[in-house]
Formats: sequence, structure tokens, C-alpha cells
Amino acid sequence: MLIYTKISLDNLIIQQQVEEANQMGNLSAEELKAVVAAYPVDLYCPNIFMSVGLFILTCIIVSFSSGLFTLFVYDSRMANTPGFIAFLGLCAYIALELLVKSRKHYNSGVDNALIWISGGLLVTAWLWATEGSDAANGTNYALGLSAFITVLCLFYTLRFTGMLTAAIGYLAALAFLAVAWYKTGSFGAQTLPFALIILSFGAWFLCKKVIPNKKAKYHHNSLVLLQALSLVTMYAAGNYYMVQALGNELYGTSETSPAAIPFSLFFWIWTLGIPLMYIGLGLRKKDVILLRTGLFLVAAAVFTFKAYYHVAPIEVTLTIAGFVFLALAVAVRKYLKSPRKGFTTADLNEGRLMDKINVESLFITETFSGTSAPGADKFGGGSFGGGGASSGY
Amino acid sequence: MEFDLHRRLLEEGLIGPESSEKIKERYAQPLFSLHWELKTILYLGVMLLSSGLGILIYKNIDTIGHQAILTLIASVSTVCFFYCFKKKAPFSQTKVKSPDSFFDYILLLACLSFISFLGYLQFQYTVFGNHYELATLIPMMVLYYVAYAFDHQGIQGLAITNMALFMGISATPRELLSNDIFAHPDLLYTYLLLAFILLAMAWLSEKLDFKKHFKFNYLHFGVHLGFITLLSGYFYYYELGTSIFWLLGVAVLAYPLYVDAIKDKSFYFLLLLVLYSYVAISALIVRMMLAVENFGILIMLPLYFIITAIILIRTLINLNKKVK
Repeated sequence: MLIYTKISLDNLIIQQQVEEANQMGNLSAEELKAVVAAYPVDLYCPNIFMSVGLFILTCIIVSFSSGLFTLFVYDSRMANTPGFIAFLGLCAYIALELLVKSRKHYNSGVDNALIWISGGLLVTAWLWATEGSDAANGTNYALGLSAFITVLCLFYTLRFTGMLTAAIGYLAALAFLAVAWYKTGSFGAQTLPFALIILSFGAWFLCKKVIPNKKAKYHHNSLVLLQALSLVTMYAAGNYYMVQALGNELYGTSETSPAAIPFSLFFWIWTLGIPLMYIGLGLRKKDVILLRTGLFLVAAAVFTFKAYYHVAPIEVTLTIAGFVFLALAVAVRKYLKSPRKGFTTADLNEGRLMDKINVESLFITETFSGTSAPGADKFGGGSFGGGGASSGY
Repeated sequence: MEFDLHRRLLEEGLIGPESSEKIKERYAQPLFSLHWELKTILYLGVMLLSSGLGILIYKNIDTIGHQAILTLIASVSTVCFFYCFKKKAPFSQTKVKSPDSFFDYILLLACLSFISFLGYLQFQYTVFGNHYELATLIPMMVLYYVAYAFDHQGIQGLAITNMALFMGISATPRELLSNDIFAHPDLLYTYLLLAFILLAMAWLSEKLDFKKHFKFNYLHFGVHLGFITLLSGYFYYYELGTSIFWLLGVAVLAYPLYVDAIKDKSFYFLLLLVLYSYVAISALIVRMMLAVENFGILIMLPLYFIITAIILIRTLINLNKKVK
């Protein structure tokens, strides 16, 4: 099923592990060189900037080629059919196969771009072809679409070991099962959140069981991502706000009170307790995925709580939260001054510099340059936009 | 490293016994690093606190509580600066490793609250009178001082954006593009001046061997600003014959940067140069094609982009090999 030879991927994994050991200071540079020479990798997997550049250029080439081709057949009315879109998607897929086989692109930007373009075109063709044919029954349409995306993503993931296709495939599969469950009748609709929780848990459990298996090692990254994602969907399925929004959507109601839905106590305990449980379990089992997902979900829990209960104005909340976070950081740092119980705050993988770029400093500049002088724009310093997420360069 | 692999490499004689012992030890006592978790908590703490305090000022600016807030901000800043000065490593012209990431973020908090404090003073008591430029000049100088004295590249970035603020413009590429540079064509020259200053500072950092690693931030902002400004200038004055000078500016800027990037083996800057130059050249060629009006253009234009993009991919791959 894999398009790459197993030897190439095996050697790639070996090289990555040896490099990591080298960065941790467990391996000398000569040894690293010797191993790299003994296990050569014939895949083309350049650095991140190269990938970004190749991704952009591949998109340019494909869009102009398909544009040019469409121009030639424009008069024949052929271009105005879903079949034509599917044909373009197949062409992109064939190009992908040929390029990966001959040039051994592996996450080089070229293969990523072609996977997205061909997959996107095929899904568009499917959407166009099934559109309207089943307008009376929207759930069948959703079932068909999610099933198609699941199968497509599964295929791409198994063939090209992509992480993102794995994630999308998982979400599509979950959507398919949820819609199918909902279609079983009123019992299905009422127990939908529980069904999603069980399905997500099953997915997480499965990934955890499969990861140590040797046969799954080429999909290690995908399985890690799927673990985190299934933990998130498991939480979201029982999150009070999500359950209420789902109920409003399904029954056409517009409830917003914090105790309106059945089992509301259970869902509140779930909303606030699960992130803490993830963190606790993550620390106990030293499972970095559980720990980080839990930390991330604490924010979701806080936002959900704030949406229903107004405790303090936003600025006071922010200030207090800031103090609490800093205090927590001080406490953790004090506690782990020297490693305790197998935990440390030291960076074990130091020296992983990307092309001499200090990403952290750029991130700080991007996020704080707007907030750094809250009074400045009042006295006419100049024009500047608010802070926010970092831009994509 | 996995245990099986370790054994295999040892048997094949690819790793020596010394390294093998180290790896075995790591295996016997696996350490779980909370480094990134701690960093994230610190980052969030500083971000939440500084924005919370910022909004507090806004909302209470005319109320009775503003002196309490002023005291709070001043004490946060003082405590943080005090801590940092105590922990600070002695100054050196070369890179000084910071004690730890905790130190970095406390320093950041100190600077941010100090700037809030100054902004508040100016608004409420107009301490700088009508000398508005002073109100941005002083934060800028403080930020530059802190960045160099404590060797903090994040604060260096803030100093750069503050310098832009002092000149009445914004410096980050995202803001530059979202603020619609076309709305203020007279600012084009200010942007150019800022880009020139930043590039000069990058050059000087290396030439004088004074905090050499600060070169990256100067270059990063200088390159983006320079190219975006030149291209914007070209498109703004598109109808005028002199617009060609803006494109010539791209070439004049690109060449020394290319030489420098090859010397530094920095593929990031090479990629930027290639992509910005590609935009400039394509703009010129498309313009020439459009000048010759006939139907062939519909075929020539896509062909041009297909062929040049393929050439570019080959160029990038070669350049990548060259700087490896």
C-alpha cells in the first residue's frame, strides 16, 4: 500500500532517532556521520522553508495548467460538469504518483500540495455530482459525503503517510458514525453525545494500542496526532456548550441557560473535570499527549464556564489569571529545581535551531507589538493594528 | 533512541561503548521534560497579565482608582526589573545565554508594564507635554537598552516595532499589509527609510561584531519591509513611467542580500529573495504581455507561469544544495 519502499522509511526513522540522540549529547558527531552513511535515505525531504516554497510553486503550476487545459476544452461544454473536475483531480493524482515514485518526494511541499489539490478536486466533484439529487433528505447527503472523505483520506494516509489526511479522515469517520447513529431514531438523537464520547474513547484506545506495534511505525506521527484529536473530540462531545448547541440544532430550540439540558450536572462535571483528569493522568503516566491536550482544554473549560457564569469583568479576570499562571510557573520551577520523580524543566533537545531563526522571538514580537503600548495610540503615535495570532510566514 | 536500534547499531560497531552507556543510562532513568509546558504557562501568564492591566487602564482612566492601578503597574515593573538586574549575567559583546526561560519572560513582563506605565503617565498627566515623539522615543530607547543589556531577541523585536511607531508607521509585515499602504503613498518613503535603517543595523551588527545574533531580527524586518514597500511603490505609481525605478530598487536590494544569504548559508532569506524577485519580474513580464493585445495572451500567460514556476523549483533545489 505504501508508495515508499520500506527501506527508505526505516532508514529515515533511524536517522531521525540518531540525530535526536546526538542533540541530547548522547552521541558524537562522528558516530552520527557513520550511522547516516550506513543507513542512507534516498527520500527528498527538505527543510521547512524549502517545503513552503515548493508548496507555493506547485500550487501555481497546477492552477495555471488546469486553467490552460480548461481553456482548450472550454467551447465543448465539457468543462461544465462534475466529471471534468474529477478528471482534473485524477490528473493531479497521477502527477503525484509519478513525481513521488521518480523523485521520492516525502513531505517536500510538492507531494503535500498535490495531495491537497487532487483530494480537494475529487471531493468537489463528489459534492457537485450528489448535490440536489437528495435534497429532501439531508442526512443521506451528509452520510455519503463523510463516507467518501473517510475512504479517500484513509487511502491517502495509508499510501503517503500524511498526518493531516489522517486527521481529516478521522473527523469524517466520526461525522459518518454520528449521523448514522442519529438516523436510528429518537433514542439515537438523545444519546448522541454519549455515543460520540464512546466512539472517541474507542479511537484513542485503539491508537494507543496500535502505536507500539512494529507494523504501525511508518504511521507513528499520524497515530500521535489522532490520539490528541480523539481526546479533544471526546472532551468536546461532553462539553456543556457543545451539547447545548447540538441540542438546539437538532430540536430547533434556542436554550442558553446553564441547566436546561437533561443530565446537565453530568455535562458540567465533564466540562470542568476532564481537562484536569487528562493533566493528572498525563503526569502520572508520563504521557505527553494527555498532558498537553489537557492543558489546552483547560482554556476551553474556562471559556465555557465564562460563557454561562459572569464572575468578574474581563480585565480583572485576565489580570488575576495572569498572576495565577505566573505563580504556577514559579511554583513548578521551584519544585523542579533539580529533577524530581523523573520530571525536569530542562530542555532535553537543545540546539534544534531552524536556519538560525529564533521563532520564539518572532512570535513575541508579533503578539506583543500591538499590546505593548496600550496608551500610545491615544496620543497620536501612529497607526497600528491590534495584537493577535502570528501571521503565516 | 529505541532500544532495539541501539543494540543493532552497537553490534554493527557504528556507535562506541561510551555513547552506548549514555543511551542505556537515559533508558534506565527516562526524564520527562516539562520545559515547553512551563514556557507556555509563562507566555500565557505574561500575555494575560499585560493585556489585563492594559484594559484596566483604559477602563479606569478617569476614575478614582487610577492611582491604585498606576501603583500596581509600577510595582509589577519594578519587582520584575529588580529580579532581572539581580540575576543578570555580565554584559558581553557576543551572545550571552540567559539564566532560563523564566528570566526571559519576567524581563518581558517588566518591559511591557513599563511601557503601559509610561503611556498612562502621558495620557493622564501629559508628562511629555506636546512632545509626542518623546512618548515613543523613550520606550524605544529603553527597549533597545534592555534588549542589548540582557541579550533578549524578543525585546529586540519589540524595540524594532517601537522604532517604527516612533516614525509614525508600523513594522510587522502583517500590519504593513493589513494597514493598506496605498492609502498613504507619502509614507512609502518613511517605510523605505526604516527598511534602510534596519538593514544597515543588520550589517553593522555583524561588521562591528556587536551582538552578531541580533542580525537576524533586523534583517527579517528589513527584508520584508523593503520588498513590500518597493513592490507597493511600483503598483501605486503603475501608470507613471518612473514606476520602473521601484522595480529597479528590488534588484538593487536583492543582489547584496543574495550575496549575504549565501555567505550566511541562510536558506530562509534566499527563499524570500527568490519569491519577492519573482513577483517583481512577473509583474514586469505580465505588463509587457498585456501591452501586446491579442488573443495569444490567454495562452502565453499561463504558459509563462507554468514554465517559470518549474524553473524556480529547480533553482530553489540548487540553492538549497549550495547553502547546505
